[in-house]
Amino acid sequence: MIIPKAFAQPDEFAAAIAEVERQLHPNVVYIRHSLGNDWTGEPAVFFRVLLSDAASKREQLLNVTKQIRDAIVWQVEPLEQWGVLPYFNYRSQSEQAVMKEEAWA
Amino acid sequence: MKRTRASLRRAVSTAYYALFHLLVTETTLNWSRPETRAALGRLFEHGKMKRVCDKRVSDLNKIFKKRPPPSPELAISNQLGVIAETFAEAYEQRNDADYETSKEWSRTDALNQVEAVSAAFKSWEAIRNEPAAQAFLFSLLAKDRRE
Repeated sequence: MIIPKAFAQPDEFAAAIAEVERQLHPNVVYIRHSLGNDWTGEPAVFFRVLLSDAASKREQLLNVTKQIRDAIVWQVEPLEQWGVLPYFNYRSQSEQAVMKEEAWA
Repeated sequence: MKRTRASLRRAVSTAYYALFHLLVTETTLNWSRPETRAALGRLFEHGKMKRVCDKRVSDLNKIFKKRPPPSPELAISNQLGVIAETFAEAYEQRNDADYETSKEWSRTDALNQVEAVSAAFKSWEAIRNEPAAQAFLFSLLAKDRRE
């Protein structure tokens, strides 16, 4: 069984994500991620993207999230370079302030 | 608050099913006997469709990475990429929404899923009569002999 590079080298993977994260400010406050398997059993990375409240407005939400996805998919190359399928969840700063979920902190 | 959470889950799940049914319906419209289209539609498998979409996204990304010049074919591929990527993501999110009850959903997340599926509908409308789009539909149902 081949272990995906993202699992074998988690610090390097995190560094690659952090590099892109910096470019996505101010729309992105920060990005958290975890590794696991998706519902079809494939190795996956699950991104939790905290957006600024301004970036979370409906009229621009899809454009913003597309930019984020494209930046990560093209620069980090989760599947091609790290062997994991990427998935994305989004939350605004004010939503997280209410929900206070640790995994998103 | 519980009602809101349930509504968000339902929105994510429904968004996925809207796209699933769009693709199934568009495929079965090619079947000349309307009375058997529903039966044909039941042959589709969610997980298989998702895997096909993952592969399509991966294949298209290899093409896009070479930065090909603009062309009608590239424009169609871009739209197909939107549809395949949205389906794969929506499949995963739908499973979370329906079965991962500990997962908390935000309005932003649910809204993004709905907007993404809506964009995928528009992409499909733009390319639905193209041979590449029809071939994509067929690939969602066709058996891979390597399986």
